[in-house]
Amino acid sequence: MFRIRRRHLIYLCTLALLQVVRSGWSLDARAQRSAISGLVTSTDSGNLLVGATVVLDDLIGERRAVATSSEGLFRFNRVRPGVHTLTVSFIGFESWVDTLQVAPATNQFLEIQLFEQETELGELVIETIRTEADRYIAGLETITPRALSRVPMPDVNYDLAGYLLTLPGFVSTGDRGGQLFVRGGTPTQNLVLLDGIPIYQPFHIVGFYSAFPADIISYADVYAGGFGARYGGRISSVIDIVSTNGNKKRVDGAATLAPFLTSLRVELPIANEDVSLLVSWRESVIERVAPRLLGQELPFHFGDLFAKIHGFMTPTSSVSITVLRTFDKGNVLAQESVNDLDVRSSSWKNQAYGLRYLFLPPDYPAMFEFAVHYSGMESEFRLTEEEFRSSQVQSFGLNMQFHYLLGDTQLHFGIFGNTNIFDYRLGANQRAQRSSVTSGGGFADTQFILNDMLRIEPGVRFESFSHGTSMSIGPRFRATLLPWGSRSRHQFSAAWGRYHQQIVGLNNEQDVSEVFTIWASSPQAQAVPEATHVIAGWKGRLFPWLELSAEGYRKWMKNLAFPVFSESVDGTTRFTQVEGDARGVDLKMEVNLRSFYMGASYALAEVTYTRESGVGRTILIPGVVTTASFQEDAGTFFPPHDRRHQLNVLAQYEWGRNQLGFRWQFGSGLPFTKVNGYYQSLDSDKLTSSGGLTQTGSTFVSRSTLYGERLPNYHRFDVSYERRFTFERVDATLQLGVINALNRENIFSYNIFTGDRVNQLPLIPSVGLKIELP
Amino acid sequence: MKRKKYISLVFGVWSFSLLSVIGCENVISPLTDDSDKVFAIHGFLDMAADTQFVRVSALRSAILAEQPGLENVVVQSVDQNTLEVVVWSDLVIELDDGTEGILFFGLFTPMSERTYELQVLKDGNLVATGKTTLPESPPYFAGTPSGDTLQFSQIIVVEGITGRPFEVGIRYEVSRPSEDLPETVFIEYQQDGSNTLGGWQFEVFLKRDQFSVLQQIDWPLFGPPLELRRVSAFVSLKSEEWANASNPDNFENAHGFFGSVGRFELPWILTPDDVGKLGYVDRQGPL
Repeated sequence: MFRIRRRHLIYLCTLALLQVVRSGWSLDARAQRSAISGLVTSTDSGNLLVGATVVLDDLIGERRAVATSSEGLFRFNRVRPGVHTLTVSFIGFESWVDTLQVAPATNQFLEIQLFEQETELGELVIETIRTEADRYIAGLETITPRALSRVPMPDVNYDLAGYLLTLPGFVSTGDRGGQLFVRGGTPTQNLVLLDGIPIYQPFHIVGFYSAFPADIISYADVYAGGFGARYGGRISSVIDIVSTNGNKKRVDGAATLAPFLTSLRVELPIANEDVSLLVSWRESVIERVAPRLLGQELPFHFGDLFAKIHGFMTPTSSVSITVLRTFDKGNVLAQESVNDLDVRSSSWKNQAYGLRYLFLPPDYPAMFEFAVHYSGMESEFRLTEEEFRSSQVQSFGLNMQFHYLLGDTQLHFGIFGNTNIFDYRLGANQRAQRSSVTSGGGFADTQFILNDMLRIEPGVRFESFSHGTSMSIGPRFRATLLPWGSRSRHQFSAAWGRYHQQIVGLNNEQDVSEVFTIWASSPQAQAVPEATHVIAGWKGRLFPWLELSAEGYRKWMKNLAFPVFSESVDGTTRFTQVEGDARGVDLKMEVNLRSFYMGASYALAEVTYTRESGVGRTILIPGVVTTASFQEDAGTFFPPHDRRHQLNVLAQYEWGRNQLGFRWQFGSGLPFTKVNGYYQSLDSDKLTSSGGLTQTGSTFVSRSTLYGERLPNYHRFDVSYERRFTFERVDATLQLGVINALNRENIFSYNIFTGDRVNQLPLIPSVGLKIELP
Repeated sequence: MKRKKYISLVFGVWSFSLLSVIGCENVISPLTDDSDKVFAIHGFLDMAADTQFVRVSALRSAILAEQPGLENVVVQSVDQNTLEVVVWSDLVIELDDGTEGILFFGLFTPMSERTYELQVLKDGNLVATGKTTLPESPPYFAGTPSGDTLQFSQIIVVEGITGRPFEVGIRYEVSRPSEDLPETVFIEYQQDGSNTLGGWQFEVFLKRDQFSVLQQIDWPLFGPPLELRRVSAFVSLKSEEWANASNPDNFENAHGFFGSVGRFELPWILTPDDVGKLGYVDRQGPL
């Protein structure tokens, strides 16, 4: 088995080498060839245009096309000397066309500015879909701000969180707590990056909101699995968010007021139109509005502050500084009384700072990227006045990446280093525990376009740790097939990869109301969590307005920590290792007409965990790595995030300045464990002594089959209406909406001991107003 | 036109789906309707007792719910070797917290190495069982006494066990001069002892024990010597169920704990010289 795999690896490496040699490094007449590179920005705002299509045609009919990078840059190497036509196009902008005279062995750098286009929205949508279709990659969904605006929210602001939950395979346990499960993975197995900075708790305590308002998002690549070698350290999914830059030409901004959030965004050009500052601030008001609006308390207080400075040092280099700070506090179990907040509460704060430098050498077919970051999170879970737990994680990272663009071949490689510091305290009387781990490694990601039909992307990632585990090696592979070449209406894609996670987050997954997570490095002498992903999918455009896709996947996960039910009602949380198997099929349909959009997705999934009988770990005693000897029965069960069926329907209709949106979500019930009853368990060691049989004992719970039952189904229907107004100096958007319009009592948490049931948010009407500079 | 029809169809399907789930079940029943496990049993069989006790309780439906009664519940034990059935009687007692509990007692003395099955019947149907096998008498040997005066002692090795038996003691049977009726003195040993190859050993402090014997039968230190009739160690061994008491696997459809305790006398004979060194007159009989 091993030999076969190795042989395949050798074959791929050889193929890659041949491609590199064939494409770029042969010493022939190509030495006379030139390079054309450039930067594409918006004339109006000065913003970088990411994903713009750049096409280079020569007189003999050869055509080459690339898309601009996340920094708005493009490059063509080995351009024949002579006359060429360069066309740059981007959705919502007028195309830019120019004829270039290319001299032998020269490098040209172009600064291209596109003018905004007055175009009907419907046409843009269709064009958007075409662009997305060209990028179909198994497991990947690229989210644009336009897509975010299709999801009705209790707010005139859009947010990434709302959209993610419309994707098949993305499961949340409720509309509070900020936990997201992706295709069988758990929240701590998701890697969430903002401009390359890892964010430990990327969602707010109210599940409608992430830490990233739509206004600051340029685009987000969401990998439900099968991600490439440039990503690592998590075993389930990647959400890679690239923030937009501030306006470099003029002052821009917006302010919103809505029942959940108020927000303010300001964009300032500074330093002679080369540098911009973008600041976004949001803070919740729902805790103040809810008593009057809903007649009940919603004690959730949260907010975020984002700032970004972006500047061009030269036409071919740029620097950006990103800052994100968030805070959340609330009692996710609160339903009736706000006073509970004073006692039981969950709170967390993120702090993230990053610096990124990008350089495009004028005379070399490469891009260089250097980034450093600090990211930290503090969280606290207070059960009573005296009893609380706290956890802190900090990471410092350094990243250098090189991108070689060699025609049909791309080579991306990089090195990185990280230091993580963990600090946690598991009770008022417990000593604080502190540990750290440093790691370093590298990756190589390649892309070979073998012909019109087939593109393969092999890669590998390796990482070594200061202690705890040996070096991990994660091979990755992806292939895309267009059966009828570039004009194919059907695309097939597949991905495979092995992933490791040395930094693990431990939380009590059995209890959705306990969002407290301890981050720590995997204990020494214990195998780290790892996963193998396989994904295969198809995407087809049957008509210009109809697109269908289907994707099947499987994730095998090993060495996961999963809590064990304590028989004692007040027992401590203990963990054993389990193996996971997630499999499913995601189906998606999109109808895109001039003024009407509809998207529907269905996910069929099954997640099973298998626990071997053995020794587990007890964590709620000093030392997360403490191994306490206890035996647990072996067995296979469905974990509490195993949602078998999930259906999402989105619809949006636009007429004139009006927009009407609907969203309906359905999710089959999540597993839970029923109770047989309660009894007093006597201390067996005291039985032989006098009075052994009359002792009071401890209250124990007798449980039925592990996760053998299902909670009621979940469904929610949201409606929103928007109307845009244009005034002389400002634009305004008025939003009316109803979340959970059917006032469905969806369950969030049920305490089997007390019978207390906490439902998710009730019917929430909302009125929002957004004022923005035109 | 076709497009409009298509949209209408999609909306129709969507609306139907929506309406079909609006009325779906939204109630949770946290309790298992037909659980097999309905009883908790705690107790053990004791070789040293002629009456055996277990505490039986039915599972409660809530933490603070009242303890349900045990109507039509019968507890009996079956000796798996002889298939002898003993039906136990119930007894209401006051527990330490002031509430009432129910004990069942059976009138018999369990035997070493035998397996007993405790059966709980409800309305004549067998609903829960627990099994225990009493420990077997362990092999042992006594070392040669050594040491001077107060340190005069002897090693006893109990084979086939690991760790200290939960009760250990030395029993001396002595008689006063010219009296036939022996008196028994039991000295409890609290020492941890130590594990040895194939067993566990402890040290019997023969000379020190002699002072305890004199004290307990109120005999003068410098009076005529007592007669030593018999010396033996007493060990109490717990059954295997105790090793896995938190997660017992000897129950069917029940929670709690059910084990057994073996009580064993391990006699040996001291040499006449050693008896003399201890200040006794040797009147030991055969083992």
